[in-house]
Amino acid sequence: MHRLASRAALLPALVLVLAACTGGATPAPSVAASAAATAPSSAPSAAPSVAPSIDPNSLLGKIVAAGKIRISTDPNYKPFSFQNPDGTYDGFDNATAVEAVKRLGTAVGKPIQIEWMTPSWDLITAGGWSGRWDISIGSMSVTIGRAKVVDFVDPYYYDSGAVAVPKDSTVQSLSELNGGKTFCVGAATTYEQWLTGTLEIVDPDKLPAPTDPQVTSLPTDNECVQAVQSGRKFDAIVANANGLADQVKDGLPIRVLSGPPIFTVSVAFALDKSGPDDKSLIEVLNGIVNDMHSDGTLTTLSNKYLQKDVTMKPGG
Amino acid sequence: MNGQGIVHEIHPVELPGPLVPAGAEPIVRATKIEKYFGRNHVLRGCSMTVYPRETITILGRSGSGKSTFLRCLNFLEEPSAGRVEIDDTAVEARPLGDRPRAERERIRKLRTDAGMVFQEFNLFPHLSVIGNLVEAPVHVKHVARPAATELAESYLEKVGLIDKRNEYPSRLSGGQRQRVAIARALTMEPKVLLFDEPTSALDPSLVGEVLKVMESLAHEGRTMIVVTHEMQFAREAADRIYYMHEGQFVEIGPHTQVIDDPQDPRTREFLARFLGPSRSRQAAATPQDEAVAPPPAVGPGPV
Amino acid sequence: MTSLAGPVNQVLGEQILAGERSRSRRWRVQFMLAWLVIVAALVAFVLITINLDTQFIAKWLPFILTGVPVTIFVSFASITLAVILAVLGALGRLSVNPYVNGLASFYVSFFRGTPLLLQIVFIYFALPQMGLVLPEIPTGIIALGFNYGAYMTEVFRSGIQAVPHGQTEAALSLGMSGGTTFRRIIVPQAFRIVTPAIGNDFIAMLKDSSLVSVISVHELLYQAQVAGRPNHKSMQTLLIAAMVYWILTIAFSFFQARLERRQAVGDRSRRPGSG
Repeated sequence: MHRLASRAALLPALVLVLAACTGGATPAPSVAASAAATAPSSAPSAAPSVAPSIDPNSLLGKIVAAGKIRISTDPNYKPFSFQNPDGTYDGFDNATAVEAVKRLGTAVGKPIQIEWMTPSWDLITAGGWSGRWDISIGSMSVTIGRAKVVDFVDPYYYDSGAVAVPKDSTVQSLSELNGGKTFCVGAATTYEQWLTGTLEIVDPDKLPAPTDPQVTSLPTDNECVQAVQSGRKFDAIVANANGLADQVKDGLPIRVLSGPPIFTVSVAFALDKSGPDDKSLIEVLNGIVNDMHSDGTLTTLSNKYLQKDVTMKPGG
Repeated sequence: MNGQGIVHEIHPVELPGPLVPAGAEPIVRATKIEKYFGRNHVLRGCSMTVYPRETITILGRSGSGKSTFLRCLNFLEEPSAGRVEIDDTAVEARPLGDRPRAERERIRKLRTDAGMVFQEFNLFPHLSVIGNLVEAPVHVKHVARPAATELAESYLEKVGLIDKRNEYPSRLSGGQRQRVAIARALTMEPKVLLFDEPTSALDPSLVGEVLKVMESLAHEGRTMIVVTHEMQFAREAADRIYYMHEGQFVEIGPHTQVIDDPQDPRTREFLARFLGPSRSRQAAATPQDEAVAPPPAVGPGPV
Repeated sequence: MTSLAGPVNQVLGEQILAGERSRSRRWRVQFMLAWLVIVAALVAFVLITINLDTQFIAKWLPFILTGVPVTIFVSFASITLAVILAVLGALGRLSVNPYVNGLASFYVSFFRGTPLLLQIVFIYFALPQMGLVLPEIPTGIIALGFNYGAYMTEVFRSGIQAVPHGQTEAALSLGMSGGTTFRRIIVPQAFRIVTPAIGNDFIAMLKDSSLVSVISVHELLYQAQVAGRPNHKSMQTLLIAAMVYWILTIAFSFFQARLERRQAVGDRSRRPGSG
């Protein structure tokens, strides 16, 4: 949270600098109001375009010059990211990305096209993208480990993990899964890290993982559910609470354990730490994300895709 | 760079044969050829002089080095010492180190001047008979394909296989294959033909057709050097016979001498084994000879 | 000639021939029957176990099939690159030049000694570091081409070495240069020797090309997975992908068989030489 606060505090200054440098008439995002709880920002709501002051060597400069942003997503995660039969990208993440990029275009005074990239999830979370894509807008949870290789924008929603069991299972609580039970998770996910005890997040309410878990990692969470559906025996699946809820709704033979979430984590856009200077882009995106929180855009999208609002920090 | 320290000496019995034009210079001069295979000394200073239109036969037991000598003549085998000169193209042995480009080109010239016929035919299986014949004229001598084809057909006619023009080698008998191989060598119009045991891989019933072609070539005055076990051919076609023993020519002369009245005891020994005891003066074969008996396919030659 | 070749023997010959024909006909029928039974069993199994949702399939089939041209293009381009690299690699491995040979053997050792998936990811991220930002599909083609090129280098090398030495000697004795000998005599024969292996590798390539989906190449298997996972119908979409791969393979095998038959002209050495 500390980082987040300091970033948000920088925002008004940036906007002022940009505003001073430009005189364009294009409307910019109102990078203001009640963005982050800790950011006492009060920038003018009709800031002019920021375009000409951008360092051409920065990531933002390169994106503006190309008129294109390459966004990595993993369309295996309905309802966050998936493809329609006509090939278009859809879902909460992707709709958020489309809106954010639209606002980015307004901010820089030039429309920005989106090029979707679909590298494996483990390649995205590992960082070191070699400039293959510019940003991950794909439900990446903010963890301490990931923050070593990627830079995060302010969170756009909050995710919680949940445990599901096969429908015919007698297990009712997490404590019954101690002692060598079998689990299925998506590879390189925070749920896998939670199970194996390597998850490092700032969440005082994180529940301890079951003892001695026997973990099977499949390419995505979804394989786990389908594996149970096809008759494979796992004692439990650990995955995103919203995704699991969606699958229950779709009639898959699983049941989500009730109780508090196993952990809650912020979810944010991520940028490669080893890539070109991303500070200016992060500042602009922080503004955009905070705007999308405050003007209700994210809540609307969340209700549309998830049938509930996940954009508010739990307990915050 | 030619001839430095290596002087070709003509052996007293290397006299021009009856078909050789008067005053003709030798066309092949092989001088003091040495060859080592590792520490194995297989050729020990072999020299040979061949005049145009002569037929030479090299006899000797298997393993005596006669094929190696023949292969040194066109540098399929690199001689360890000595010099080869064919029709004014001279190349010296260079057993150590690489040859300069110009010298490699001379070897190529030497090879185009010396057509070779192998024991195993070595026809190109992916090419038809006519394709086998025109490949080298077109790609080495840059003869236009129609001209090369015409030439090739004339030689196919000569070996009696014009009707197999478009066949592939695999569809031919051994004797036919060897006759195609001879025609292939002839189509390059070489100055000298080298035959490396051309009938040894053949079924006995097919030897005759190949020998017949070779004999007709000898009689029309082709310059030929033939490594063979065919006594009959040596007797009828050779102007001179070289008998090789353990890497040396131990006896040189016309067949009336080398076959009918050998002077060297080693030649006599060989012929005694080869022609049968009744024809030999000294029928004693040492146990050592058993190990290097001539190949059974040849049998007791058609004498 | 006189007593043996009577009419009785002719009749026997006809009977033997007819017997052979009917045996081979029966064999073919039984062979087809075996296929038919297995395929029917498979279809039955699929129909029973996987609740085929025809509406779902009709909706997603076009989406999945968009991966087919990508798979075919990537496979063809990669095998072409692999063949070129394999020829160069084989030349290198046969070279007397220690540096050239060393380079070639390092290439083979490295690309055969590390997993293909790792190479794809490595090349994907390593090329931009060297300032070479190729799009995803060419990157995948490079990775697949280099990997298969390494395997095929050894195939080509043994193919070249399988051409009898007498062929080289015959060519050289006709005055051909080393280069002409290699191009005109050795390569055509070596190529015939390795054609089945190339075909085999191509079939493997058709399927290994799915690995490049990790670097955002939307080939057949990727499309099938993206269609299947969010809708919890992976088995159905994967089954479609499997059928398409299989059909591609069968079609290719057919062309390969024809090519090999054409190449075999003049190479029927089993025919005994006589006459």
